[in-house]
Amino acid sequence: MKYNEWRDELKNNLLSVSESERARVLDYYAEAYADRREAGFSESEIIEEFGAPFDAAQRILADAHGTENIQTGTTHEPAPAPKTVPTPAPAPTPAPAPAAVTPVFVPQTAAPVPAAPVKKKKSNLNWILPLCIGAAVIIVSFAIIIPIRAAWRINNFKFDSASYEATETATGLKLNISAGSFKTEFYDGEKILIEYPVADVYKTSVTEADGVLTYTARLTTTPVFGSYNIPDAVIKLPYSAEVDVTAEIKAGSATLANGTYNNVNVNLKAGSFDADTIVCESLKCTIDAGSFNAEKVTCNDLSCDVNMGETVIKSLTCTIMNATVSMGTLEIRMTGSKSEYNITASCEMGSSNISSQTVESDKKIDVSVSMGSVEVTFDN
Amino acid sequence: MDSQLKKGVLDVCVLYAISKSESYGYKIISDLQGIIDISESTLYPILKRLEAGGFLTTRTAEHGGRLRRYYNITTDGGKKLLSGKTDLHEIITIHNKLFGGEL
Repeated sequence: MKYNEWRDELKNNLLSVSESERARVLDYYAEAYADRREAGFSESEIIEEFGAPFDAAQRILADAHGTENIQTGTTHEPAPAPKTVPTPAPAPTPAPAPAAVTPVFVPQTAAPVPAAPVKKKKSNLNWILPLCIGAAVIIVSFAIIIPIRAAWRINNFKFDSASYEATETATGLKLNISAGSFKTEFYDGEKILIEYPVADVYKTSVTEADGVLTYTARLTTTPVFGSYNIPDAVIKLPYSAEVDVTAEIKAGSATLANGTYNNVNVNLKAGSFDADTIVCESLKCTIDAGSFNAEKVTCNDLSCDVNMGETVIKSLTCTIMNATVSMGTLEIRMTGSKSEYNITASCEMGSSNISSQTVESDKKIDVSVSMGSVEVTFDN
Repeated sequence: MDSQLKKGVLDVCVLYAISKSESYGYKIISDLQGIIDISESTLYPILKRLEAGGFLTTRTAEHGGRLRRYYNITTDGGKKLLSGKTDLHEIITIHNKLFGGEL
């Protein structure tokens, strides 16, 4: 189906809304179509994304029914109160009928021939009703059994495994996780080794270029009932390696093993990121949603951008700490004394326990809070 | 997800997407990708409802030879967003208590 055909079918399904509303909807979709074309989507991809025009129209109509009269475009008014029907005056009591006169002579008449029994017509409802009840029971049973069975299958789905060993000494590790989880481990080997789950429903890949290993994982379908128990991908790093780790996690979880890394860059769209004790040159985390937790971090500089998630670092040793918090929460405990740090702090609508100060020191803390909350504490 | 619960969550997500800076339809959807699935058909009534409630304003501007509608959060929208954030935290707390073995 072409976009013009899709648009025309949508329009035909919206004839019951006002002309202004219909024009607004068509403008909205025209803009959405143009934006997606600009982003590189093909016409067929966009149509698939929009869904059936009938379904799109139904959502708009469902919304329109709650806010405007679909016939005239006027605001819906409450129905007028029903008029009170006056109670009619009671009918006069009719005069009693005269007493019947008992006849003296009753002529003998032949006994009436009993009428032939009238066959009562059987009502079809006698068997339809149990049939309907039985059908309803069967349908409801299936409606319960099918999801349970589907969920059980999804939860017990078996994944295969594969592994990839780097062909050369890698200096970088890139992870793009849309589902599932990964964890790093240090081992005695010389090359980075990735052991990861594979399945038709779970698309995973490992590529290697210019000393950087890239691991990508995503589900090809999202189950309606239940969720896949996806085994962890394990990334084994040589003890001798100090790699750059760049992780973009759209969903799922990540765990960084205790050890030394070079630069760590985490972009957490959702899901969770956990680390115990890590040492690195720099740590940069962007938390759109989800939670970032670390027990002990030692680095030269930390940059933390918390949009709507939660970041907790229980012990941080660093020279420069830069944090921007939009709506999320940030809790950091700094080693050393507060008097060792130059602090620049600003807070708009949120809450922050730290205020600006200037000292003679190379150590800096820069905290900016929009609507979230920040708690920075110190050992001393 | 339950439809009523999802409706409330979607309102918070859309308001969040326009809270940092002015945004437009497709950008809102792509910004929320990975956080929650939302399509144009779902987004339209949400934007319309939020505008009717005074939680966002719109303006139309020229972009690449065509018109594009931009959405901005209002002060009331900011308050609704903050309230929504509190509600989500409460849900997380309840979830943790229910499934964290405390019951």
